[in-house]
Amino acid sequence: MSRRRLSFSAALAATCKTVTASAATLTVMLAEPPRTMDPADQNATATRSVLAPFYESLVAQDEHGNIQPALATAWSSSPDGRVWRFTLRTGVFFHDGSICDAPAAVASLNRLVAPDAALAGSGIFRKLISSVERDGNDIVITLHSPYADLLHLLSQTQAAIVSPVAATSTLARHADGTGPYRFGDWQDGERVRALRNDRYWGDKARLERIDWRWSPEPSVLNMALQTGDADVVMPLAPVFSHLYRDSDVAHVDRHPGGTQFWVALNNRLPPLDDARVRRALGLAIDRAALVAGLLHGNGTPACHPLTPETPGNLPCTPADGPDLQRAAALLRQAGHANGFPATVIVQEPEEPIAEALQAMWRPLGIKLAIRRQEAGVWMQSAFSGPAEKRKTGIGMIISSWSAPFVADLQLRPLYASANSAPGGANLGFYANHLVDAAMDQAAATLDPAERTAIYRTMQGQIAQDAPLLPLYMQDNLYGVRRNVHGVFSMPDGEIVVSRAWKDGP
Amino acid sequence: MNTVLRRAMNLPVIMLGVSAIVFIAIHALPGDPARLMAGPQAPEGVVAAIHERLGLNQSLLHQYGHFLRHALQGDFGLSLRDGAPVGRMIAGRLPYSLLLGGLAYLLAMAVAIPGGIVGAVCANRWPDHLLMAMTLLGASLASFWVALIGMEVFAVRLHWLPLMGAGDWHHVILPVLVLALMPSALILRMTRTGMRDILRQDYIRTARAKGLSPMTVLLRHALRNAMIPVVTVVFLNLGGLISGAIVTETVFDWPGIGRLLIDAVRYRDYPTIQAITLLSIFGVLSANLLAEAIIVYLDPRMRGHK
Repeated sequence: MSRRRLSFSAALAATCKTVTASAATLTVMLAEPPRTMDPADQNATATRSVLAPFYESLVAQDEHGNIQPALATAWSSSPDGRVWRFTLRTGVFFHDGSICDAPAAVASLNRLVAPDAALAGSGIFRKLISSVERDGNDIVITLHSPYADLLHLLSQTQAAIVSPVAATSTLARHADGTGPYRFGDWQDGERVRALRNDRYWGDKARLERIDWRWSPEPSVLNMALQTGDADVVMPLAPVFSHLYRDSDVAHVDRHPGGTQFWVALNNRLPPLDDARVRRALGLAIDRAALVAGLLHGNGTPACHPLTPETPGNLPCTPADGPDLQRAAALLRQAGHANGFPATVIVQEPEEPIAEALQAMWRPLGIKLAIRRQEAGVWMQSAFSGPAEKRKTGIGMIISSWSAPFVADLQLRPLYASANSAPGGANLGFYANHLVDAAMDQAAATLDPAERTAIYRTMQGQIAQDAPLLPLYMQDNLYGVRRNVHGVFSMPDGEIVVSRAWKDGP
Repeated sequence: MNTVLRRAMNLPVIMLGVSAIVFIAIHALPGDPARLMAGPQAPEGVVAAIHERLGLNQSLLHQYGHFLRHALQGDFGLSLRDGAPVGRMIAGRLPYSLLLGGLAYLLAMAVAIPGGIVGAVCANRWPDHLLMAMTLLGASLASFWVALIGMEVFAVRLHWLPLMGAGDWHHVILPVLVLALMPSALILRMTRTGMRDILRQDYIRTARAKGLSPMTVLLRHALRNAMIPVVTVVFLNLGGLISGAIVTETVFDWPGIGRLLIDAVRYRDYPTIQAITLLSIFGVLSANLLAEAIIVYLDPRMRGHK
């Protein structure tokens, strides 16, 4: 249980010197605080970054998306891909001292897949997994239907194995896993502290502790990196990246990002219910200009749903535009030669995208009205159903999506008809039974080459329908002080510091 | 004092009414806490289960009754975000905010009251013009911008002060300076105007004619009366202090209730928003009462006023 710090007067008396950074402590600064210490009850990248050093799953994913052993040392699946068996590592202890054995791992996974699990991260696991059982020191996971990406899914933080003791009471405020760092404290509004776990089963962490801090203001993150208040900042706004070109203080690491930004088009609201109109909008977008102008070059144009690190992805080609003449011709065919008015809803960070699209679509006569909304209001508007969106005139929604290495998780939430809003993230109500069927077929296809072929064909169909318009993938930019090593980022923006170390003070 | 006492006795009734308004207003905010917690990809079943876990599936009246019953016993419930007791969270943060706000107001008064007197005595001469220009600047500059410039200059370039956080007394300096900027401009102008009016009054002329020293006239006869509108403004402006603290605490990574409120609003953490809002309203109402008491003390004509 976290204890609140003393009153400020006591704090003042107790600390008459500034806490100085040392080689033993790594301070990482993020844009937002963690939402919980319970890995199963969250879906936020920043939270995952904080939780990763505390927890481990059955399998792990390296930065290239390769699956590695973690708490499971070996695994196999039945020929039909429905039954998976994992052999658990022995001699592993939770931070509370209890043993991480098969019953504990089964309890942890069952907590996630329980039909009444009110855990934010349980969605896909609940849908997919029919049972988790113990067989000696093995864990047997049975699926409702084959799912080729199961190992990637099990490597997610949400599927981390948590202490059964803590899971029933304190987990939301006090992390309790098997990772190389154990929970130190969580001071509201200030920091989360991770301490080295000296009982860790594998190679011990090289730092004594990791302090996590956060600020929503990009310029504060940048200043913290310069002053040394932070050793690592994630993300570093592209506008500051040039400051570190020849800096001996810190450097900027750039990792191709797996987060795709897109515009969802309301497929049920005229004239966006016409695929020709949607394709015309896509053709009028100069994606390279968006990357150059909005990201200072730190990104990759996107014309198809899958991101570069995912097998089956398709890069942009000249046929994808920009081509205003073809766009105008398509609009003429659809009976909108003079364009039309439309409304897009955005949150503050995405507003510049909307302004750029406004300018790019203006030559076609499209008058784009931009409604900027606060996060909670935006979420409510974006997830409203067709009737509500028609009433409020919401034709477009700008957002982003990230599901590194897992094609099914990149496609299904956004393109499956079953996931139409308000029940899912298919915000524009796209429905094509061919695409639905291909998605199911690919998810159940264990042969990688065969799956890739299905995904490529499916993306061709999606490009014809243009239910939403991919814009770009933003690179992950993060700043690291020169004396810090062993830090990397995952494509979704999770910063991995479990194996980091520091030279000197 | 009767008026003050009577108003103090009305406070619980006002707070009850305010609590109902705040409760309704907060729940009318668009945005669903369960959806915000679960994220966009969570299926509806998970969101519904979180609703049930948090008690958000109950009727609004039931939720309000539950809140009120517990609030009367000093229990503001558990944060929807992480399950921590809201009362304890606020108790942990309040000293930080009170320290920042208190020091900012002390600094503002320490600078602005002498400044206002100088402005009034030297009216329309260069010290007055200089002070007025400074107050115009102080009232016009966005505290967010001043904070960032202050951090860039004093922390990043000069290394004189820490950038952020709440480690020791060095950490207090920049946020207090930023937070004091607006009230000091306001108090200085009010003091100057009040003093100028009073220095023209007959009783001041009489006091001078009696041969009292200029300092005695200024401080004992003029300042006391000039302070009446200043006190009113200072206390009425406490609401502004709260909004200023939200910005300052966020930029400086200061663990006060302003920052807690911002996080709570972001995640629609109803119990936390309710508790902080009610606490702030209670603070402002109490400050108004205190202002009245001080005015009654300063102005004998107010005593015995029914």
